[in-house]
Amino acid sequence: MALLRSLLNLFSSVSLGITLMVLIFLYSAVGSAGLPVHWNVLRPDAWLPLREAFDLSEFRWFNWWPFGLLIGLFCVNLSVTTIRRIPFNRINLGVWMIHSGLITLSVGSVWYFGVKVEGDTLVHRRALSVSWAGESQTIAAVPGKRISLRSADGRRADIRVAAIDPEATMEDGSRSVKLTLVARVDGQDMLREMQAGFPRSTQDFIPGDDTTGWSPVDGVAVDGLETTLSFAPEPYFYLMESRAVYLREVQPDGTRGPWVERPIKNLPMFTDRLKDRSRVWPEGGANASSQKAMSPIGLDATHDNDPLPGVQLEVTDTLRYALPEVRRTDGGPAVDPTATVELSRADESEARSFDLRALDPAARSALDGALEMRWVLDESELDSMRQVRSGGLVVDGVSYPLTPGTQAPFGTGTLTLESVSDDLVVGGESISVAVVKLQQGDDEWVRWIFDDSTLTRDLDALGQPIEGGLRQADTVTEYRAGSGSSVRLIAGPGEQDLRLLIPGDNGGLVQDARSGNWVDLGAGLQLRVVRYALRSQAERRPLVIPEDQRDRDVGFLASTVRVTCTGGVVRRRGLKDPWLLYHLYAFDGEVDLPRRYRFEPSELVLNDGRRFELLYSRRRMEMPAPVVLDDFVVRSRIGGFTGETSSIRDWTSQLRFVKAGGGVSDPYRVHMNNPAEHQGLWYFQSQWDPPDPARREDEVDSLGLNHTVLGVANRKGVYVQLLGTILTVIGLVYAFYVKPVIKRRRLEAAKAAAGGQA
Amino acid sequence: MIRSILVLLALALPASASDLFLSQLQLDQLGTVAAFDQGRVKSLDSLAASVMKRITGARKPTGTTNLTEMLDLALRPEAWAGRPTIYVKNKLVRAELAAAMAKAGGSQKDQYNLAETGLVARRHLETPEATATLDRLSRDLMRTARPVEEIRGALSWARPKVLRSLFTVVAPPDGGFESRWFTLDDLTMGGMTAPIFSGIDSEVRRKSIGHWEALVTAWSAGDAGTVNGSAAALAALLPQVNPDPEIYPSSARLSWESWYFRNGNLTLFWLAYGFALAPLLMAVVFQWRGAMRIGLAMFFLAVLLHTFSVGLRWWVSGRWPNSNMFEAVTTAAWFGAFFALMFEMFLPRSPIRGIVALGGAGTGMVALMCAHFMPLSLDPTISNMMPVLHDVWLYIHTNVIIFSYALIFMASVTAGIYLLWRGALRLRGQSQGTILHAGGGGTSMMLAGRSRSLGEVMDGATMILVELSFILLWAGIVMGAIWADHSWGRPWGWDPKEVFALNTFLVFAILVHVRWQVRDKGLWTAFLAVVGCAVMLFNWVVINFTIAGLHSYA
Repeated sequence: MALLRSLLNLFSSVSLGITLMVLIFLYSAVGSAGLPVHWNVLRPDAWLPLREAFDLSEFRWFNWWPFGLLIGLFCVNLSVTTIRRIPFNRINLGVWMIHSGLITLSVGSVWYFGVKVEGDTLVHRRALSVSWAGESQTIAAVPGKRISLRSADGRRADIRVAAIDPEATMEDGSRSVKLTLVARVDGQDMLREMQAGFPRSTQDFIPGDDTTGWSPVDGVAVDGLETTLSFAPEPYFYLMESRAVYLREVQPDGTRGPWVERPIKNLPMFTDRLKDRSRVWPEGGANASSQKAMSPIGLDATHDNDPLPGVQLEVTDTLRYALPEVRRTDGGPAVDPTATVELSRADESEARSFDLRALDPAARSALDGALEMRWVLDESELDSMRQVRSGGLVVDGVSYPLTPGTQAPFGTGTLTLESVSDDLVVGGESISVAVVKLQQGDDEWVRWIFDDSTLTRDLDALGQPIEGGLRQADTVTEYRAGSGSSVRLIAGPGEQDLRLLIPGDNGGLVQDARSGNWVDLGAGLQLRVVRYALRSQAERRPLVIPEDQRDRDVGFLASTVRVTCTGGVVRRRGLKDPWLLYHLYAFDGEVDLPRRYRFEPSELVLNDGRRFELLYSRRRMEMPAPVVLDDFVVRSRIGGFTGETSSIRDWTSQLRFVKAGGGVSDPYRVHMNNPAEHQGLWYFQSQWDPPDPARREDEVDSLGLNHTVLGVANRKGVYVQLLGTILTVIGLVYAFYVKPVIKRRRLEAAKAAAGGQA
Repeated sequence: MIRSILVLLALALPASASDLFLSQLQLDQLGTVAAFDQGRVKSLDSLAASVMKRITGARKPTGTTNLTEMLDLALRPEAWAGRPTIYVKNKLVRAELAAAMAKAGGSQKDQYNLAETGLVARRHLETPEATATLDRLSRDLMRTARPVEEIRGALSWARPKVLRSLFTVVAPPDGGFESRWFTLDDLTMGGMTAPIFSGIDSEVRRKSIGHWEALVTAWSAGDAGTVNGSAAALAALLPQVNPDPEIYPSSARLSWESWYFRNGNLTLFWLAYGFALAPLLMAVVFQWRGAMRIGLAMFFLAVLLHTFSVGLRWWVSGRWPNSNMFEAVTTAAWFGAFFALMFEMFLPRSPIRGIVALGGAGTGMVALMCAHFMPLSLDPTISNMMPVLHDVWLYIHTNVIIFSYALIFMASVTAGIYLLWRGALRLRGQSQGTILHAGGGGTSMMLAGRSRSLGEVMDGATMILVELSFILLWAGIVMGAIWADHSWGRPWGWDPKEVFALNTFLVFAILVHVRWQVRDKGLWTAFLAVVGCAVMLFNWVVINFTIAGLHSYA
């Protein structure tokens, strides 16, 4: 009883309330901003993210038990103090309202955060289905996507999405997605234009004399090729701050089963956990002292349809910022000499390193051929290399040395040799080229002089070929590739032999390069071999990004986990690549992969030959109904969309939900500040698909708007929270402005009464 | 120090023969033509201000106008070859670049210039040494990558081709709202035959092309007379390309916008608050009636000028100014000052007469000084609002929050004066008897109506401001949660800005309860009011500029 009274007294104390508020303040401050470690708090590195040291996100920090305990104690304190020390009367009505409002808010928050589910989903706008000769395939309608179908009798159809106009206008003025595909079906080229929602407007073209190169045909260009544009329902959304490894079986014919999730529980998200540093490349941030080992996290098969219920998977390591890098290491089955060399100025003020591979023509030279690596089978080969083959630059029959900076008269102007590149492999052919700068009066241009003179060309200042062939063609320029002008790293013939051939008189100078010491090349340069492998093999490991180079804006996209699998059913080599890269979404594969997203699963082969794929992503949750993206509209400001986000006024996703009995619901419009609710979940506009120009020759431009990213969340308890906050506001107004007036009136009345009595 | 000032003065004054040409230019009319900039049509002066800020920071290397410098960089780049032009804000980067410059043989004067003013010539940034330094610094994402990105951005912006591509002063001839605007170079290249410009009256088109060509040629030749003539002619011709008011803003709006930017965004009005501050302080401390009258009159004038500047920006931008840091700071101060003015006008016999005005004047002066002296941190550029801000809650939540912040600052001013008073008493050995009645706070004090010491009055004033800010801050947080709920799908996301707004509220909650617990209520109230203000400023400054979050735009 005495204890209870003591407790009641303690929790009736305003001092305890103040102490708890101070503690809540400090907890919130260090969790949100971090701990200051430098007096200049405006420096980005002045704040030590304490929360991340505990591996907690903001959400988790404020859902952690210490915060819950503080809030719980505060609520108890608030309740006990209010009941025991503040009489419920007109004067104290405001305080009662404030305190009961705060308790109501806390209860609502416990409910809200206790059941909070939040994530996002990527929904494609349309899917393209193609069927031909009994085969069919469906892909997301994304520019550049390809489908290859092979009939039972060996014929082949290759289809590629050439372009998508996301805002094509129909004759009646309505908007629709227009997709253009090009196809080669059993040797026949064709082009098809399709309009979503208007199958009758499909038009086929075949190669013709039209200015576009295509001529329209009546009917279909290729019999049996059926294509349709349909909605692309998305049944899942991916949960924030969750992690999972997905697993699926790959059938012998290449078809794949559905992804089955295995959740990763309690994975450190902000700190690296690395058991063995040999598992990552030694450079970068791998030497950071903060990296510690962790107990392996078992990935239990929680789903009935898990394809490998008997195989135990474990996460053994995790890195927040790392890039996978393929390097060649020693230990391969065959001779494949590889070296990493460092070239530096003599005072080491500037240095660059190069990876060279002697037997790969595309990777054996650097610096425009000035540095090379070769493999020799015997000493005679080295001797022949030392014999300098005369090569040179010939201008109007006069030879000039191949030293960069060499100048020669060119008509009334000057020719300056800028660089030479020998033995470049282009299209399987080996070619050599000298790049010269030509100057005549105020005119300057560049000429590439190939050893094959038919390829020689002139380029303008922007690097564009000059029309009309060569300027001043009457001055003849020729290039003959020489040999012996480059510094060569010679591997072989003995396994331990690694020498450096430095060009010079009398066959140049040969020096041992195995020691790793700097070798003087003359002209203020030096070179050393940092790493050498005779029997090299490709190996993929993460390179940990140094702390000062970590870009927080990339989120978790640079994170990776190492997964191992145990059990006798797994081959000795286990996973082909145990480091799994983080994926925002578990896409099915290239078929539904949007542009700019990653899809790099790892392969697992069992003893019985069965193959599986593993993918590292977030946990996902099924939505009450699959969502489809009917339309996506970008509203721009005056002047139209300029490519900059600031010229956009709003984004709108028009959604529909797939009904259980088939068909889709009426449309829901989701745009900024305007979410939509469907069966308990709220959908809000999160990201969009901006225009994306082609980055490689084999890519095509995208005008964007091919998908949307929606935030998905529940919001239970919000109205209880709202009630609490409103009560608090009213209470504050009452306590600060009504209560003093009441008190004053009472005081005046008491004074008046006292005066009357007097 | 003296040398630094001389360097700054030298930068502000026309110094060479080529600058004589610049000083003869008259581009006021051209500055008022409409220019398109990323979804907004603004005056050319306004565009030039935002472009040159990216290149030279707040400096003016030739001491002329932003438009003159922008055109000169575009049309006469050779005059800028050796002139310190690119602004380097980060001091660590400055030091590293100065070292690279020394290594590359740059003069000591240039190094000194860089260290003192932050300005460096392009050629010093393009040496192999400087390039290597920038490459190295760009890899330090935490400290120097962003400043390096800004330098590279400035180098890119300062290219004549890029600058010329920004002169998008030719309205779309077809009159479409979402149609593209064009540069004068586009018009010139299109000539008289390009179908895209067929909607322009042929005479306007011909003359525009002719005057632009004449201006470009005359500028290169340093012929100020021809430049001035062509600029004036273009200023008259360009509005005729598409006079549709939906597309081309009124000349009045453009002229006022140019005037607003040419006059430093009217942030010099901090002086008006400064002039009001001294008599108000004397009136409060020494109870001088004359000083009170003068102080209130000057404060009234200052609020009037501030109201004009906020109103002008509102009209020019077409939206209430509370969408970026510059606007949030200046508008918050206006709210505080306006509240103080109303308070003084409607409660002329209050026991705290002059004190709220004093707080308002202090708040207005500090806010406008920040805007005036830190234009890079408080960017005055009028830009489009982010799509998420297009909501009625922007006007409700944001204004309530910034009003509460202004009151918190005002409370810290009165609390500061109280603390000074207590300190003075302590020095005089008169600290006894200063433990004051606190009762129910500010309203009780206002109702009591008896004469008081300066300490009681200041304490009461602090409480009046704290109580009002306490309610407004809570209401503002709740309104923000309602907005976030329908914008981001959650009312509360533990974003740093949200957390520190709540923490500011917590400090005042602590203040209210500490007041119940301690004897020396005045001292604790003043101390915690200053702490609350510090937390509020921390939220506004450190959280915004250093710690990333969802609210980084305000």
